[in-house]
Amino acid sequence: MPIELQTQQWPAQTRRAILLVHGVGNAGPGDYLALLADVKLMLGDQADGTVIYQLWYDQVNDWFAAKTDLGDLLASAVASLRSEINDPELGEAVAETVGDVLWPVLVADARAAVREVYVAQLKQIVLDGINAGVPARRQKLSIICHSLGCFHTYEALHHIALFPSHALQPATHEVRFANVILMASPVQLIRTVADKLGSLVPNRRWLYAVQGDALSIPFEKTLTGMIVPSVRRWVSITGNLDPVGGFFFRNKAPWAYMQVAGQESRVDDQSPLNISSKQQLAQLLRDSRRTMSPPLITASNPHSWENYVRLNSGELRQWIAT
Amino acid sequence: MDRHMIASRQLHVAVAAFVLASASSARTAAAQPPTARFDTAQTRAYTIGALVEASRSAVSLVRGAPGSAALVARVERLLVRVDRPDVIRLPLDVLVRAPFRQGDAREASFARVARWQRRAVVPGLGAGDAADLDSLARLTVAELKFAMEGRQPPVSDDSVDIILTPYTALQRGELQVSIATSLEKLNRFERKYGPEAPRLNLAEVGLNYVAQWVPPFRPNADGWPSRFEIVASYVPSYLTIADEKARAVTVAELGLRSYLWQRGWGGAVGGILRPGYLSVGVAVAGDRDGAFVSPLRGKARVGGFIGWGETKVAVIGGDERRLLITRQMQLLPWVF
Repeated sequence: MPIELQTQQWPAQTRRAILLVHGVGNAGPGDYLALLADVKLMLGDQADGTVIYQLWYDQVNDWFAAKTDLGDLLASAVASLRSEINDPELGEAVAETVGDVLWPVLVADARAAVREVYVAQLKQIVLDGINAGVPARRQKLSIICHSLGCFHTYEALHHIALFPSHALQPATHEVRFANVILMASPVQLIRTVADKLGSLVPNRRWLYAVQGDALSIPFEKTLTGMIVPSVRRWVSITGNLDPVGGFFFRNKAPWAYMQVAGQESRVDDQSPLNISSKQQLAQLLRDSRRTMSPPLITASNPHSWENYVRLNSGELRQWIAT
Repeated sequence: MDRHMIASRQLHVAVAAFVLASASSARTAAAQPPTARFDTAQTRAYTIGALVEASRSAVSLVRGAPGSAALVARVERLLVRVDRPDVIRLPLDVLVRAPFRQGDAREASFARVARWQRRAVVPGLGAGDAADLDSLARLTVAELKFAMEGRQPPVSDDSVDIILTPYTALQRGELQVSIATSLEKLNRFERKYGPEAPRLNLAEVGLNYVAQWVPPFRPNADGWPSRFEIVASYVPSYLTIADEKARAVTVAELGLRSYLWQRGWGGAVGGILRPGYLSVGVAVAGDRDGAFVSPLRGKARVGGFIGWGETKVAVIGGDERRLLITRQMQLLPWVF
């Protein structure tokens, strides 16, 4: 079935749009309704003036899962992670949990295809805005992404800043995101593991997460040498019990925590989840795993996207509304 | 000069005059034009002349502003070169569609394409014109816009939007073309990996994983998939007629599959006549016919196979030559 982009008519006077990008899952239109409700609740009276899009890319993932068996390679990636975590109580459970976000690194075509779905959806959003009479320079675009969705966001934003053919560059096409809010981002973790995997990672040249000396906010250099970043506010939110976001039982792991120059950082205190021991956290992570299916992330899981939105609703509203 | 060009030029001269007057007289929003919302209905009428006039309006607003002299001079040099009847009469569409070269790694702005080609790639435009228009667009939408917003008093948002309307129209066209390009790219990925694509066995998964390091097999810089895939399969389901009897023959195949990207080909839509891929390579069978007979048994019979979509034909030589036919299928997932 061909990919269908989400297109919406922007109501009159609306200049604001949000793209929600989910993480590991098997989602399609009609899913993440609770999250959508949380986002609308967070926006409050601003919700009516905000067009909300959701990116669905699992259809593409399914193509590759059906045709590429990465069992052994993923096992070596997980083993690499386990040695990096170096924690006898948490290592195994965390490595397996985080392993779910590593597979796109290993298939160049899968990376390229998901990135293309993402970029095409961004183009459709900007076009919807222009069709409603709002030029790109006046659009207030925000992205809220979670988990593996942060990796795809990082790759897509860097790609569009580099390639004029997508008509989404920050200077030449005036597409600058007001907010990119990455929740439980595994981008640094993926960078570290990809570095450890070395030559096992195909087409590294076009894997933006491993480029340069450090992770960065994408930008375009104009003809006169001016640097125009693609993003005005780059926010990282994670929890101090969320291993995907770089915290291993309240300890920040610099090799796994995303730190981008210019980023605003928030670390949620996840004490209310009442996880009092590493064993309890490991058990919770194991319980979320399902055979042949994406993990089931409940509200008691420190990786819950809904919890991040609820816990930070005040700041989110302020960032998005202004 | 046609009617649209004249109207466009008059509009932008009027806008610049209005903006200049309002900017110099007051900084309040009271002096704004009634609306600055982009009207998609206007966009078909725009020509390259509208871009030229938009840039001219913008440059007239920043001329004399501190630090803008070099920028103004650069834009004016470009304007002198492109403001010619044979250029400004062309519709925006020629710029929208020209820069995108599908299927290779050379997607770029029309200026870069022009420099590579050293000849006109945009109908009606010389290579120099394309490069100049590209520079003019980039300078206007970025540097000139920042200069308009940064001058004292600043040009209001609505005025900036009105001045840059032709550039918004250009971007709208570029987005439409670019979305179509993305969907075409995704169609190709679906043809190669989607539910109607041939399944791979574990050996092919491994070989095609390794092939990602070989340029013809990996996606290019802008993510177009390679049309090629390695075939390495064990096929126990070839059929032949020998001694007036139908017999199964087991064949080992090593070759290449090439996907066909044409629209209307592949899957149920294309049917047998217009398949989504073809394949070709070496076929090896053992010295005896039969299903599940090892291709390595005895003295090998070597030949070739060619596939037209799911239909494959092979010829093997040796003492007992055979003409074989089969259908592309996977009986046991990941195995054969």
